[in-house]
Amino acid sequence: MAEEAMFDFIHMEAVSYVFQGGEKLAEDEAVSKLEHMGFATGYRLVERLTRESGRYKDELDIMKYICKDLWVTVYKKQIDNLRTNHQGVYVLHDNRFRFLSHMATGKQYLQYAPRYLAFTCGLVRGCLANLGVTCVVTAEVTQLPACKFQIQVQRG
Amino acid sequence: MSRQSMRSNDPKKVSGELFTLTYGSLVAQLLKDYENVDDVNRQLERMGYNIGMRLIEDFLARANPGRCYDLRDTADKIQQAFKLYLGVSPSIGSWSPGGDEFSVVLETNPLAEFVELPDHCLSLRYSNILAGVIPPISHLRILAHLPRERWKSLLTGLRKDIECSSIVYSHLEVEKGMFNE
Repeated sequence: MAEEAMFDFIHMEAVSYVFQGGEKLAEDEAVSKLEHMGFATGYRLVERLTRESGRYKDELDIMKYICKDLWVTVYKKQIDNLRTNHQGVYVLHDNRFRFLSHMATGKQYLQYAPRYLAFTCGLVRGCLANLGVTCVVTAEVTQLPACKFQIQVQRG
Repeated sequence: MSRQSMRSNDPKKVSGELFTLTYGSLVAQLLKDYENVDDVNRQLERMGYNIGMRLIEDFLARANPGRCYDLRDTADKIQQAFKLYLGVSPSIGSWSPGGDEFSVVLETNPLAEFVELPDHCLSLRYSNILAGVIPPISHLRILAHLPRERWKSLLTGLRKDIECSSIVYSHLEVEKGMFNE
């Protein structure tokens, strides 16, 4: 479907803007900008997506929603594997992440991969924030195009 | 499973919303980064240009549109591309007598669906990215711009009447041969 291409393109532009555009920024600052854009998008998006759904039973139920419905809406596939220690840490494995699937596999571009995950980290954090879960989301890539997102729920 | 999948929403619409919201966060970030609204406009146009460069490849592969023989053909293809990628069909009109200038008018602008601009951003051309997209996809030396006054006045109209928030017009004028300034 053609509209998906637009989302890919706008994301690419956002990434290239924060890393090259204008004045030279520190890597951390650029990542945090992307993360913030993701947060704003996710926060608003989930509000629209869950408008007609019932209340989620518990945290795990929310995570399942993220892995299934949200991922299908945004990335056109489900998360391949969800793991949890039942103490507030969830790890989402995606074996073929959409933003990384355009990149060559192998080690050459591995160092740039985190740039393409920052937006999604923010997106997930924004969605969870709007569903009432405060958390920290980090991402990790060891082999393109697979990646994993770790969600650490903040309690108290 | 405690829950059936309840994506009752039209998936096509949802991915359009995703794009709209992402674009919104991007513009908000640009406004934060640049003090000058004109710089934001310029940056948006540059991004549009980059998107257009990639988009034309995708469009040629996907829609197999064939060769353009004159500007009217090009206008048709632009219309087709808008339909394909933004889900809206713009009308093409206001041809100049020489046939080298036309307008692309969007009846509804999907980019501006959830948008309300604050007072200090009135000179922001919110959808300027569209103006940037057209030159590379049309392969002509074209200057595309969104007339500012028009957007502004329509926006003022919008502000007075919340009811018509879905009818946000934007107006693209395309003029040939004005690219070298």
